[in-house]
Amino acid sequence: MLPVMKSRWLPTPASEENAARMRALLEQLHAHYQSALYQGKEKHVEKARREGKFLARERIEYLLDEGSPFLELLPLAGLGGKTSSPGGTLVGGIGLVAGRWTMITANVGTEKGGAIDLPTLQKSLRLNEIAFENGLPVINFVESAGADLPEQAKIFNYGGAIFREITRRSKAGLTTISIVTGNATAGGAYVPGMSDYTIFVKGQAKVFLAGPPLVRLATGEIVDEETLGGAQMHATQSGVADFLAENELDAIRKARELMSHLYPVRPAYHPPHRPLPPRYAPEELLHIIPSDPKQPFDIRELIIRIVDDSRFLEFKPAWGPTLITGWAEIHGYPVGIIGNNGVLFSEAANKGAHFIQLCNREKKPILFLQNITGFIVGSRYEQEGIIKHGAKMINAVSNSEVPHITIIVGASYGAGNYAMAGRAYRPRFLFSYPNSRIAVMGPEQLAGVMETIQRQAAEKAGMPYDEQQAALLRQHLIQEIERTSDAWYSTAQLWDDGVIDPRLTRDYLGICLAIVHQQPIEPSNVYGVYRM
Amino acid sequence: MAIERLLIANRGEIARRIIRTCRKMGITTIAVYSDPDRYMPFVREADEAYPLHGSASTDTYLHIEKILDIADKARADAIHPGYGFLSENAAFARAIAERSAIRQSRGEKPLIFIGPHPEAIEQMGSKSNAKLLASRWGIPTIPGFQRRDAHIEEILDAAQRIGFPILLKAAGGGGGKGMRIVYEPAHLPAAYESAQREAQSAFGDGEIILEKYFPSARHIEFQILGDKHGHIVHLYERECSIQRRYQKIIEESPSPVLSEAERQAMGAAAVQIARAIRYDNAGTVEFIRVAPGEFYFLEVNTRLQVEHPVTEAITGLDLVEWQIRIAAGEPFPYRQEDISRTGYAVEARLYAEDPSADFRPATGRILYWQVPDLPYLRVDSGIETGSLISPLYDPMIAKIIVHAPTREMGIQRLRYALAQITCIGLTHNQSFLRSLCSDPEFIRGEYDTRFLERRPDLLKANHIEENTLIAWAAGLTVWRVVKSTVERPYLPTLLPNWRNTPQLPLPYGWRIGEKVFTVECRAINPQRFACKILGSEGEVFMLSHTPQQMVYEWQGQRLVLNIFSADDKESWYWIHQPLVGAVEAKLLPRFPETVDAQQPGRYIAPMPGQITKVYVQPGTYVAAGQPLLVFVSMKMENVIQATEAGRVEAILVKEGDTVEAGTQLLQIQPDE
Repeated sequence: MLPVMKSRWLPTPASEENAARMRALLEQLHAHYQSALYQGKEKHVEKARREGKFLARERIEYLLDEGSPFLELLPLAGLGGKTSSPGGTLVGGIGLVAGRWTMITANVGTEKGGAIDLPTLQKSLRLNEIAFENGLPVINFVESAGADLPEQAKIFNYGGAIFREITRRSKAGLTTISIVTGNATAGGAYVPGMSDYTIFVKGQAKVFLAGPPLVRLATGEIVDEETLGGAQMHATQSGVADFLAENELDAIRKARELMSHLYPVRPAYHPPHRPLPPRYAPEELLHIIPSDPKQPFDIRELIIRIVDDSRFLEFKPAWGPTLITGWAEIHGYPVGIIGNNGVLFSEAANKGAHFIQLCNREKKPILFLQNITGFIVGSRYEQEGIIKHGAKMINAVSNSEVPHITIIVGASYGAGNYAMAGRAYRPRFLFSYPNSRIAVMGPEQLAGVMETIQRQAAEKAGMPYDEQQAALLRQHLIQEIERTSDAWYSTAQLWDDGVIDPRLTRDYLGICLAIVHQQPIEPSNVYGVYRM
Repeated sequence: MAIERLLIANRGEIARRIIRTCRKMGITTIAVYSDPDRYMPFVREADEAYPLHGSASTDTYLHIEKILDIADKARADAIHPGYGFLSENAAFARAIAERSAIRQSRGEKPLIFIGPHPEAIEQMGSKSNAKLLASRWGIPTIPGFQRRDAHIEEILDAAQRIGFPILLKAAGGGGGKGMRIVYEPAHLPAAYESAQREAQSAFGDGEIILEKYFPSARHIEFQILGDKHGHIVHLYERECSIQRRYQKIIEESPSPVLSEAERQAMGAAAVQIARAIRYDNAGTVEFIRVAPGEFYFLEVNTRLQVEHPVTEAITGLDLVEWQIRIAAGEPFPYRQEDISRTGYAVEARLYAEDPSADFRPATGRILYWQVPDLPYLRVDSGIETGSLISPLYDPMIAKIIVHAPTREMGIQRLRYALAQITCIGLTHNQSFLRSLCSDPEFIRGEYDTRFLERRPDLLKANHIEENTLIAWAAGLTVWRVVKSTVERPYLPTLLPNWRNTPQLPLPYGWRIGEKVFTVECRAINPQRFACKILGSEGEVFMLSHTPQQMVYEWQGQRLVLNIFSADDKESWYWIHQPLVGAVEAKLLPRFPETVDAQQPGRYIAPMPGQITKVYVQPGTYVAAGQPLLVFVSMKMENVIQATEAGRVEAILVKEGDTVEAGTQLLQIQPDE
């Protein structure tokens, strides 16, 4: 049994103030979540209701098992966009269907007719990637006009991957079921077209490569929607529909029946005992996690508030102390944890590379808790080979074959982002705290570097340096960097899979670990573990 | 001659009752049982058991040959008939005597019938015969008149002599057919004629009996016991006036109205009748008492009564034991004056029936049965948790008998016991019995045989307050959602319906009793759940959660809710709060059944083929599953069957036709 780690934290007036700032950030988060619940203009919603249709999120709720969790992913993709709403025209996430972890996506047919704009496309591709990497079947509720025509230039080329991925997943044994609840035109038509199973809702599903107006333009044929691509036609004539559902609930029931018939998964790992909650209240995280990423905090105080029974076996505690490594369990699932307690020194990087190898040896997924301003700089460190040592950690992260999950809990700057399994290092899941920042470096440093370069350039050219102008520029630059490095901007760009409430970290990780532990973890481990 | 192997020609609680006494006496018991009774406790508890093969009573517990063959095969030396079934069947008693004679002629042990001699059964089997006999011995009988083809003048004369009001009833049958109450002479001729007509059409016999009608009467019966040596005693009375449709519900002793003088007079009359027929086992003499000192003989029941435990409680005698010992020839050793009675006893019958729906019998499985352990309580029942109450036999679930020093204390104890007994899974009369025991008129002993006709208020369905149902709906929903969480293959410690965005989970829909409740439930932490039901909001604080129970706090009260699953689809429960009551709770389905609404009754050829046989014609009424036609395709015979019941509207093909796939074959108008 792993040892219990005791907290050294005590509340202070300053921590109270920090908690207040964190709560303000959470309010912002919830306001964004609320805005992402938007499912189209009232008149479109009312029309759907009149037609006896459910809305995208209701369909998901009907599909999920009783009591099942639903981990909504990328809920704020496209946040702040001018031509799209938060989350795009697609709701997606993972839940249990017939006892099996399933990626569920639902076009929001009541918003832009479910047309696919850029954030929606990016979201769709990322959801497909998550499903593929984690071996999840996919159920799509299809109701999409296809490409959002005003944005076609941004999406047409990349969009094709959606169809390719459905069939590549199928080859890999991952089923896709499409429930067509409305219009699915052109690109929309190929989603059911490529799926392993299709369920069409009678009187609602209309699936064609081109709708009646385009057909008339192209060939002069005058034809109604039902004849051209109605559910009945596809079920009895074209064979595009495998199942004809009387209504949406019947369609969802049929999808659940199909799910219960799929080849059963035998999860590679099941917690052998009922897990215990942490010994410390998650609410305290709002005190402990600084709202300002410039403030340091002990990452272990976070770890013991998210792991089972606050048990954490710390690896190499006395060496490379700016990187905390160790093992724990979360909701019963074993995990290796790497967290930052300051900048990465050579020892810390070596310790990280060593620990990653050990996790590959022990077949443990790795959780990266990023709060990193980067690697140490300076002649002493360059001379001792910080580049070389950092490279070892980046090498280990890049080639590690156990699942990685990353949470950006504070700063995520520079090469530290890479060494700590940032987006480009393809962790299975990546979430951010609302207080987090992500950029090549902090705004002040970046502005400072820029200022120094310009000052030097002015000197070289013998030009006078306009201090007033420089101060203005610096201010503008800082603001711009801050805007493009905060969590909202990051999540809007799909740099993460969602901004999360720190108090729910344990639950997010429990779900992600349950999912990654479904498949066997079989690293190839060509060499023995190198002691770094 | 000791009885060593006793066959019980009965079932249920009385079979268990007899087994208990036999075990005490060291007698091996032999049960016989019908197919539906295979798993009943009495079959298990008997030392040996033999199947009767069949379900209907006539094929099983009433089948004399089968029972006697088993008696021979099992080497039984006695048969106890219990009550009901063959207990008052003289032919059965005679058949036993015949077998006994055959056995004895072979030098084997005889076969003894535990009951009186066949003539007594026969003589008392006819009510008019019994009445005649009683009046011959000077015992008051209900004044009446009966003569076939009597002239209306004679009828009027007789009526005047008897005195109004007069009851007219069919000689040929019962059930209220042909029954009239006439309050004055002027109405008699018309009533008599219409009663005759009704009796004629109902029983094929227009003969009518005139009887004095008593608007208020009490049913009082005396337990008698006679041995084979001419010694006969009575074991005091039982009052059984609380009845529904001539079926007793409450029996008590002593009667709250009988004076000691009346008791002696009626007891003496009972013994006198018994003596007249040389009665030689346990039996019961029934009277009605219409006013102080005024009682009339009704009939003799030549068997052990259902309500015998009341007498056992006050006299301390084991009546089944004495039935057996007397049948074996032993003299009954106590004189009348030796027989004392102690305190008061009352029996309430728990029936599977709905008092609020004209006592309609209910059937179903008993999901949970529990009887409290109270020193003054005796519960005789034939069931256990899991038993099925089938429509084939008597709907009595249990007899609840309480003994106390006084009537007042007895009724209080009965009230308490009734509140504690738990019987879940079907409709029964427990809450009615509870209201009856709380009724001031009943408590004062002011009732007669028509009490329940006057008091329909007591029969009203068990009313559980809406606030209680809301509290149950909240507890049941939390129980259910937590169950789904702990039973799922992943993350049992993740809160139920975990969401990371404000997307709302589906509410639960329940039909609890007659009401529909929609419950929104959100987990705050593993123990706390915010619930919204019918505009009322509250928090469930879960104290414990087991597969059959939920203990929780709701709006300032600690509640224990027992939850019993009544189906294998996990959508139908009985929920029960001790001392409050039980109700059915059905989960409204998330996916209502859909039928192919577009094509009801349309039968289509699934593939190309040939029609080789048509079984039905237009207009034929078909049941679901009935073959309609045979269709040969790819050398395979396909029988097209009716998917649902209905009438054949049209047949669109004939034998020999070759059809394409998708051709409509026939059209059936399904039943509404």
